[in-house]
Amino acid sequence: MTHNEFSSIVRILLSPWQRRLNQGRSSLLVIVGLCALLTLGGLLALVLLPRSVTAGRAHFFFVFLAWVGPVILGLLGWWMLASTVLQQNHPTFARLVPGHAARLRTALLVAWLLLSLSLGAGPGSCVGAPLAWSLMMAVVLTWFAAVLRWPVLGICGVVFPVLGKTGRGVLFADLQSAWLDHAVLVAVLVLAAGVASLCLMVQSGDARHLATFETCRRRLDLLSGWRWSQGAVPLASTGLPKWLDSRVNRRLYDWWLERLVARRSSPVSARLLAGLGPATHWTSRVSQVVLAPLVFGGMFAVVAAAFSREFRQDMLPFVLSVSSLGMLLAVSATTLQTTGQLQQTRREQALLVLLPGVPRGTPLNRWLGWRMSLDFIVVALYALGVCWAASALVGVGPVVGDPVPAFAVALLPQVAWQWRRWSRLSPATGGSVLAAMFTSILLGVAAVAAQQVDGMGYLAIGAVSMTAALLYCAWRWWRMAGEPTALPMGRLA
Amino acid sequence: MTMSTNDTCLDLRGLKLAFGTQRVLDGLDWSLPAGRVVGLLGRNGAGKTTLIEALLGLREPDAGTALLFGQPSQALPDDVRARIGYVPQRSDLFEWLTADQLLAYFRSFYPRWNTAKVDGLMSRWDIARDKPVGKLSGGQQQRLSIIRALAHEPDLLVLDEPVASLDPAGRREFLAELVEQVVDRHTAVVFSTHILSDLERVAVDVAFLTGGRIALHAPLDELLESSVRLGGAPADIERFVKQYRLHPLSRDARAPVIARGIDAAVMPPATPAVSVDAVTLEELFLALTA
Repeated sequence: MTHNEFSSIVRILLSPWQRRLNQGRSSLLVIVGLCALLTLGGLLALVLLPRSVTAGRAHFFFVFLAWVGPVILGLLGWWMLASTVLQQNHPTFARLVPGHAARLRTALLVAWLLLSLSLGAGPGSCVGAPLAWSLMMAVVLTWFAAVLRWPVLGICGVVFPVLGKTGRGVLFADLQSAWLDHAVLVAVLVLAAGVASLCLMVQSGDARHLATFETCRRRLDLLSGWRWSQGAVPLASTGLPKWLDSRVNRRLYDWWLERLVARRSSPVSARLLAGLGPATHWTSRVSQVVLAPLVFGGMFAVVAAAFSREFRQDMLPFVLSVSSLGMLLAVSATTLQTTGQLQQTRREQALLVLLPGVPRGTPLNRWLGWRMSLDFIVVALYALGVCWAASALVGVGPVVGDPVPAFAVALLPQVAWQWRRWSRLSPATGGSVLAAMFTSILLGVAAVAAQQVDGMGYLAIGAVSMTAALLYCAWRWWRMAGEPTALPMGRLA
Repeated sequence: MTMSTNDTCLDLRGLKLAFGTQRVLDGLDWSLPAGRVVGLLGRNGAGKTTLIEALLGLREPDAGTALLFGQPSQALPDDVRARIGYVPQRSDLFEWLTADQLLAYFRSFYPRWNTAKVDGLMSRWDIARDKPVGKLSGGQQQRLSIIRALAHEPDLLVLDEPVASLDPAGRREFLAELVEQVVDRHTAVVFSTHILSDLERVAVDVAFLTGGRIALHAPLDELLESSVRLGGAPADIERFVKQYRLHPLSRDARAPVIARGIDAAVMPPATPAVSVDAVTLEELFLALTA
């Protein structure tokens, strides 16, 4: 390898970090700090606390604590690197720049190997089988990257735990015995599949690459909100498959728009909302709220129909929990991304605010807050209703009791995200979208834990979190009076 | 509503705007009477788009005031907004709408809409009505953007590099339309461009933006007639400039000396030591925006 090749691979590996520096974002430093604190806490506990305290299960807890920080950072870094590599893999560069695709592949493989080994070494050194742990991390990392390129593989995240659960651990036991009997073969297979997948991710500038690049770019834009090409104009996409977007969403949106503009008496706010693009318009939510229960309900029905009654009884609660949670995350995530999607039509907003009748200043700021909140609450209540109906229909107790109150506690306070400082709103990053989702998950886990440990009712937890959220919304409503006009969004960021 | 030439449609006073430590507008003063066409010139990054956005109220200045038809641009009443047409630098906007949907959408907001003009331009400029904006070519998108801005017959038309994507024929047609608009409706036009030949064809005035200020705003013909390019030894030129009370315009010492006289009618004759030649708009641009 020449010095030139080596330095370009190093630059590719450092590009996610460089991107964060260029964007002037400090959120990564906060995450690094929090992860370092977790690791430090775990290590200090292992070193300083008496052996009697750190023995047994506590030992594993502290090891986990020390390990989870590097794992979060590793996964985050890998996700950023993989998405950056996909973004750099422009068809023109891939075709014209010598060694472009090869260097991207090499960088990806080097990072994959190093991360797999280092992340597997921690638990491996404590509980044994470091190679098995490293291979497991390699599989997880490959899946993470592959989902960015082929989103349909995301379904493995649901299917694999379901299969593991349904076989009462048979699948995992089979995997374990396969590893014990044919370690070398399993290792070779995992490595070969990983290398092949990662190499296939990076394309070489052929016609297929040209066709898929724009779709991939938009998907990454939606996922991360990164403005990785100032020259490219992201279509105001709803994030749904193109055929569904054009056949369902667009027809509904077009019908509504035609109806609106045909009447001069139609409310300006309704016309303004339509002008902000289909991605943020309520018509796009219709197909999303119909589609999500269909997908997860379909999965549920297939599982329910395919297995024996005894097996089903064991499995249904788990499937119900997973499908309900998946549906809620899918439905709420799209709504929580609305603020980020509004960024996509900033240039259109410059024309909209010059139109007669369009509000400006405080009325516009507050209207946008109300509008986003209304969208979110309607969708969230709908999703919760579907979960409740599924739970009642199946008539079995899910894994951790009735999940709907916990989901409600987790989801509804997220309405606070809809009251932003619009004019200073930075483009949504993967971090901000994940933050909203993680807040939901944390609140839900906290609600379940509080319910089980302290016997504290969901109602009380929900009341506290909802009050906090509403107080925040009220404070933002008051603050919006003195803030610059909302649109064009993020112009002062 | 047609304006009289005495009305000021645009008045900027002490406008300051910075992005972080980079000062883009630095106490800029500028006004534009009704019915005037002004070409806004400046180098790349001089702040033309920022100035246009600030004068339309799309950016809040750090200091100063921007008035459009006597109203603060940050809080324009509806009747003033109906008198403004704006073509932004990039025209690939509302790409999810078809051309027809886009025009219908904008028509629903304006009290006045010249359907005949829209139909005429759409057919003359050969724009597919049922094609999504995102699928039109760059030139067609720009033409559609221009039609949208002209359709409600504004009294002030703000055009941010409107001809950048147009071929020479398209530029010619656009300029003809613009002249017609000015002549018929007495519309004031702020027209930012880099294509100086177009400006010479249509602009009545030119304004040079440099260093965050309008360095010079003058009628183009008068400016060309009253400006000269001087050649000779620096000392001779310096003496010549003082003798004829010329105002040097060149900011770059390495560039040819361009100077402006007080009176276009009385331009200094050449001497054996100093040559005096007519200047082009390009030379003026280079001298004033260096």
